[in-house]
Amino acid sequence: MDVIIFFMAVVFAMGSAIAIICVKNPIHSALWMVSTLFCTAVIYLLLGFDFLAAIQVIVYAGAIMMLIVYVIMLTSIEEEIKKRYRLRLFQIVGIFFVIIFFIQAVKYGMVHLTGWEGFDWKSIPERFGSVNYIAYKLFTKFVLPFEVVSILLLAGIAGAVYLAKKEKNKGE
Amino acid sequence: MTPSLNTYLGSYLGIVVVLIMGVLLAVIMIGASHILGPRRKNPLKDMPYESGLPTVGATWAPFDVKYYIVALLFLLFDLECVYMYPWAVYFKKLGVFGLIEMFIFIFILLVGFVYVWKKGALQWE
Repeated sequence: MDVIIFFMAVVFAMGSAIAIICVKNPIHSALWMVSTLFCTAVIYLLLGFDFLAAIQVIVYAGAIMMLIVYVIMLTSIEEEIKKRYRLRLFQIVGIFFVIIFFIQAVKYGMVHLTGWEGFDWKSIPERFGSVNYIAYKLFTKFVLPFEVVSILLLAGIAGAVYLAKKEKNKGE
Repeated sequence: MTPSLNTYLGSYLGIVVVLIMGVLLAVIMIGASHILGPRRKNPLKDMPYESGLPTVGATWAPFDVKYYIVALLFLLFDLECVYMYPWAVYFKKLGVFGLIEMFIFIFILLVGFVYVWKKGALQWE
């Protein structure tokens, strides 16, 4: 059952990833990207990282994709759409081989160069990526970093307001 | 192969059901209107519609940057909400300590919210 879900998620993720670069309309590209991110979330779920999966859907597929759509809307791209570069079959095949090469290279690097080969996977606690485990660590041992995150977000808010306000004054 | 709700993946069965129902509903609604609805086209109907007036110039006009700050602020407060998710799951075991932690967290972000408000970034003039 797990294997079936995994392969479905992988096929959908790859299919939508190719669709992102192949469709003409940038908004459609953005929608396909949501699909890719969602499929990645399913893969995280299968690995047991349910918190990461939730984040993937809430933050990436939700908030960051919305930001990307806003960027598309902010720029006028009507001319861009007309002359948008289209992929041909050979180019897709080429990209496919590049991806395979890249995966093999990363696999080699991960396993042989980083010493993961002799890594004791059993030393990782059970349900390592679950919401409960992360909550337990975040709100007991890592309380201070958690509070510091709020300061970081505060800085982000101040920066966002500053940038957008400045932009507006320039326009007027 | 009957998926049980007690297993790890089985606990996500509800989400799968909602997803399937959502897709089915959309397909049925659009499909039914496509099959059942009459299609009598004329040039006037096919014109792009904008409040009853003929459109002027390019329809894909760039948005005002004002919208972008709303999106950016949404992203930041969305991240705040993400931290509430594990907190809510683990809240019972944390007790009062967890409550105080989250109050400090939200207070700091509330300062940011007040700043945004005072700066007039949410003003629409």
